Amino acid sequence: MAQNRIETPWTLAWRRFRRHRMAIFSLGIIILLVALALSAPLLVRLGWIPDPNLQPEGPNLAASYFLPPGTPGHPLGTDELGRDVLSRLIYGGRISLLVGFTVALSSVLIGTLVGAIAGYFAGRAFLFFAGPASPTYRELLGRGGLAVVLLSLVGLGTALYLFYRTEPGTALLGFAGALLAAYLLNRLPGLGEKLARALWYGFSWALLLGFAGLIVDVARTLAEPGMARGDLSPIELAGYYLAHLGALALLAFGVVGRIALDVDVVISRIIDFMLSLPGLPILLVLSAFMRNPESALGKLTASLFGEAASVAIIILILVVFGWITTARIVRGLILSLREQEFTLAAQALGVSETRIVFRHLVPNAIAPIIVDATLQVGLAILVEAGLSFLGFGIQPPVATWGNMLTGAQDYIFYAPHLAIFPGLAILLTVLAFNYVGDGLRDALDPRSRV
Amino acid sequence: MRRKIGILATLSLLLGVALAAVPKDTYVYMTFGDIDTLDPAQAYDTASLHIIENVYETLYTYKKDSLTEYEPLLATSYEIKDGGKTYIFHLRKGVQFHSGNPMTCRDAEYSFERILVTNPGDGPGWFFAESLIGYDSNAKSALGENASQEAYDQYWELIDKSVECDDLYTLRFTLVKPDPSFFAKLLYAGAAIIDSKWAIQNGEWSGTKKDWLDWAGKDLRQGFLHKNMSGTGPYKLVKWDGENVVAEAFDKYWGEKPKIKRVLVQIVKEQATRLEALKRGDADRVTVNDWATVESQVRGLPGVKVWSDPNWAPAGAGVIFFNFKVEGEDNPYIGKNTPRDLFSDLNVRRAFAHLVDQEALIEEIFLGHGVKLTMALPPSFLGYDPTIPIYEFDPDKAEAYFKKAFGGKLWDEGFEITITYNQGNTFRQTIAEMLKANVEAINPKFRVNVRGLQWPDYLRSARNKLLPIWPLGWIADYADPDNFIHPFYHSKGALAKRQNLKIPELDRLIEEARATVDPEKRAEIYKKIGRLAHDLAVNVPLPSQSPFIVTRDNLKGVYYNPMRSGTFLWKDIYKE
Amino acid sequence: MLVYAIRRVLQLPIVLFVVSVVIVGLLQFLPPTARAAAYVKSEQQLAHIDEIIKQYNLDAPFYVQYWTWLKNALKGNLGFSRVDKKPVLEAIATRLPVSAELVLYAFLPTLLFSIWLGTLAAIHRDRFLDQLIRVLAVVFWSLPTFVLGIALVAVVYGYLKLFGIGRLPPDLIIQLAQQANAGEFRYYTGLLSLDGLLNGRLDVTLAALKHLVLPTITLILVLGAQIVRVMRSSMLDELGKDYVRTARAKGLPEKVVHYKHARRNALIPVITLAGLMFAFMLNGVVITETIFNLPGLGQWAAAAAVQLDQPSILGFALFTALIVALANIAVDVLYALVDPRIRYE
Repeated sequence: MAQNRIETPWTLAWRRFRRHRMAIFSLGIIILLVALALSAPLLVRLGWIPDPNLQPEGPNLAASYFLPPGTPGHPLGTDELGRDVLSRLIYGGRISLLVGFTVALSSVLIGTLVGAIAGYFAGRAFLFFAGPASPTYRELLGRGGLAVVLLSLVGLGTALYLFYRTEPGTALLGFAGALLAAYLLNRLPGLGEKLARALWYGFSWALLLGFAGLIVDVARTLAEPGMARGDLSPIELAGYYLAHLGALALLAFGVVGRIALDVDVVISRIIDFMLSLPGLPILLVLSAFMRNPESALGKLTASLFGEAASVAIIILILVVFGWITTARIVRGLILSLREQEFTLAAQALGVSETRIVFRHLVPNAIAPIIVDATLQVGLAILVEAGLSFLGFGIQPPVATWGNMLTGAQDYIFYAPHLAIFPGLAILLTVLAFNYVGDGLRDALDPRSRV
Repeated sequence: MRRKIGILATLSLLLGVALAAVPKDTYVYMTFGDIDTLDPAQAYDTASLHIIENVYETLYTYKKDSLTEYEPLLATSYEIKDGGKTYIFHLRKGVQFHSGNPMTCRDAEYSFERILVTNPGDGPGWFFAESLIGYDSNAKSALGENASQEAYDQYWELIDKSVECDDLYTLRFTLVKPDPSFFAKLLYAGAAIIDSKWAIQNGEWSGTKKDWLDWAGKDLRQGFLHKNMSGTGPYKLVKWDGENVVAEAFDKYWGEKPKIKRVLVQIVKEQATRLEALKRGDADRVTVNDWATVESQVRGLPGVKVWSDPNWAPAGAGVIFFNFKVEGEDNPYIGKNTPRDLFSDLNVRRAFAHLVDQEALIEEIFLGHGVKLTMALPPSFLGYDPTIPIYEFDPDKAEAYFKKAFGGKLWDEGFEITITYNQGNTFRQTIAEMLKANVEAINPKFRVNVRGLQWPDYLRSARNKLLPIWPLGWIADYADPDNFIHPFYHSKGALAKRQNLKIPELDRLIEEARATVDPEKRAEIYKKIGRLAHDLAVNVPLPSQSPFIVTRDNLKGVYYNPMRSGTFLWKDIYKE
Repeated sequence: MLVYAIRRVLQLPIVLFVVSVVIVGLLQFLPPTARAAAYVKSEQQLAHIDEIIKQYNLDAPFYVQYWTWLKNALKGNLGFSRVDKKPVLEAIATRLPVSAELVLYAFLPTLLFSIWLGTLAAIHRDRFLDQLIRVLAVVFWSLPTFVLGIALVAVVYGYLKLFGIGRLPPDLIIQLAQQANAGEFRYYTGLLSLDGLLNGRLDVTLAALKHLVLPTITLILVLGAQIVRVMRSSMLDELGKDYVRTARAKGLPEKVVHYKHARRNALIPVITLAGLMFAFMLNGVVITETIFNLPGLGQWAAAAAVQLDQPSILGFALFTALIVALANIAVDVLYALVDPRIRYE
């Protein structure tokens, strides 16, 4: 044993990883693919490959369509519009890898954050709402009571203004701003915590008011046409009055009641719900919805990304469904890590909770997270290809492996090479990521033998 | 072990048996278009009308591939009276529906009144309603949901009076005013005579005033006739399961018995699969997407025949529209400093027209199989004038026109516009990209963007007059020039009003043609319109693709009639 | 146990409610013209788009539209599927057998085959057999369904001229349609291979099976790969546990240790996966159905999403949610049966 060198866990892991021959080989392939993807525009400028969207011109166009692989100038042949397959393959790889990496990175980040919060705060209910006459709120009064009341009113006013006077987008922004303000107030010494809670409760009153208003509003709109005609059925009429009663009851409760919510329960429910959602139709509806230039999101993506808007959209959609697995893994890990001695020690030392979560707990869970990320890259590439194949993903003329295959399917008996190459490319890439993931799993597992 | 091998061998033999080709008296057509409905009052797409034209029959129909010669079908003769306001049809006797009911004038009256009563927004009823009652939509849509009982009653009176039976075999149409295109409308496959007794028995509209308003604007896809057919045609429907249609010859057909006894129209979305089936002989005819596929993959296949003829032309026309006054605040399709009335200047329109390289379009998209149009009218239609000149591709002339536009101001200040197309339409996309390249090459201050829109967005933006310049086409509903000239050139036309086109002289000529019954005089007026439209460059007619039909080579009797959704009728073909 | 299952079943309506709200809500973010896409087919209708929007009430506020839908849904009318041109329930009823037939032939073989392979790989850990199975599993897992499907179509159907695409050959479609009309052929189940037997028509059964071979192989390979991976790792976990060592020490034969002890416990994660997979398959394997031209639920859902056909999308989503939830309950119940340690309160 070499005594003069300190072995960090990472070098150990690397040593274990190196023993995994397939993983090393796959890593090489990935690096090669990334290099190819990054240098694609350079290759075009150097004249090594033609532009992926370059179509032949001049007479007798049909002669330059469907050229077989091995044709001079087109090592992998040309497609139904005479475009170079190799060049499109490289450009398609750019998109696939971009989608794969971005999706994996974002979903893992979001998943880790959500999972960590859920895991760490499990069992500690957060006082989400406390009415102005509730014992909790009365406790807050006492010293500095005037400031508390004022701040609550400020919260209430701001929230009401946001609800009724602004666009949904601005309202959301304002909401985030208020959360931030509460968080900052919380960090102030002395009365800080008290004031933060006051602000938050004011805000929560507005939420309750808004919700009660919404119930009445919806009931009225639904009943209006029937009332005008005078042919509301007794059940509908009962429903109409019940809605009003419900809203009143809600308000009454709002004065004295309190609602505590366990963040973990909320997040777990959301995860359960997302898992029971039929993925496909939601995916497809989401894609249609974001692609529409009329919708707010559609406008945003179109203005930000232009031609490549569909790429951004597909990434967003995959992230919406991608964070769940990571969140579940991380939550489970943090739940058990939370109970271990080093966490208790940190808590006893008065280390801030943010610090405990991100400096002590998350790093201890990093190995499974990394493995998960690698596998997610492969999965994202697969799903993107599938969606593009169905026509919901990335739109031509932007080339991706998936939409190259869609086009190729029409000519499968006539020009099979159009399907073979993108198919192989997907296979190779996903395979490589899977092997790297396998390798990492073994390498990062402290129990595995060196 | 040996037994296992034996089973395996038999199994593979069974599985591997080559499928026999389609029998001689059976016709299999594989296509991609979903059939929308089998109800003639609702059907407005080729896939649906293809079935309807073979199962139902109209009063008169086209003679084989001709658009100008007709032959009687369910009528035997007709007269026009009152200067073109009254049409009287003498119906054929002894005709039976597939259900066994005899066909009489009651059925004819019911069929046409049903079209007028229901007239759903997405159906073809509007062009019958226009001629017969002077409205272009159903009662609820034309008068509003809450109109008075009186108004509705009046509307019903109009319907009731417009189609009447003089006796059991004499049908009388009374038009609101003379309409020279009315006869052509009656040739539309959806103007079919349906079995009224059978329809009423099965819960369709009763044919009386009692429940007519309930049926106004109703989505007929939820009714009985949506899936069931009882017509008088040579074929009767066996089954439509939402995908495939199976039909068989009707043995009590009044006319000549067809040679093909069984028909299958199969929906196969993948072109490769269709071609493979054709090669194997599993299909007699397949839909092929474009000429590129025909040239590269179909031509030369053994046992396969590609039918085409330079004289064939589709019953459709497409043009590039110029918006004379672009509307909409924050309109993303036109630059902030670009005049909204850019295309109101004749010089700009002519310059753009000179930058459309028609030859290149035909060559690149249709691989040479296309015809240039001189006006927005299919060449086989009455009034088409092939002698009108076409703006040839000429950047120099375009430059000269641009320099003259807006007194030279445009040349100095430039402009920025977006050409749009509906995503997936490569023809329109190529046009847009071609114009961009050609316009921007003339003056660096001219900016042209290209943007593909989803189909509904494309329509919506055009409808709201947001698009400065856009290509769009139209397929004939009925073989009358008015079906093109009015929408394309009249200030109130369905398409031209989206471009804020207002040229009084054109409007006047179109109205005049509508009131002219004599075909020759009408033709002259349409030629005049075409010439005037060319001089003013109100739009740029685009070339259209020469049609082709792909079948097995033993299929005979194939012809091309652009007004037939299937280009030919099943009863006219046979196999050798 | 029973109480647990009942409680889960009672929770179903809530899940379905939320799913429907989410979907209708998402669709409402689109302008009415976009939602009219399902109704607009030709250029001609350009002039009538306003009427279409009005006719189908596409511009009403979100909750009005939702309320109308909900009222009808509670009465058992899920609306009209524009994509399929028939009521949604009828569309599901005609398309479910197509998907179900595929699942019927693909699911059990997949499960048995891959459990067997997974166990085999674990027992022969790191030896040649294990390496081979692992490589194959990774390859088929990485291979997108559509690549495999297209390859099968091209090679087996196109080149070797074996099997078929669609459900039946054209002449049989015509024949069956005519005979069904004449009452000579009855669709008892909608599963053609089964109906063929019930009608005493072996040729129909055989033809239907012939057309199912390629899609079934596709599904078995792609889905099987996943189960093999899970089965192998779970089996390895179990083999490393103390009770296995004890069993071996007792001198039990290896076979008994592997198949009676370890495998039983190793099946637990596989059950979860298989349950989800079953639901997933029943809800239409879109890509497989598209490639092999099978008019199943998946194809329908994809078409509905393209056209933004709200009733169809909703109908499909609710059906899927229902199946997924039921599969989850079934999985939990199976758990308890396989593993007596698991108790539900």
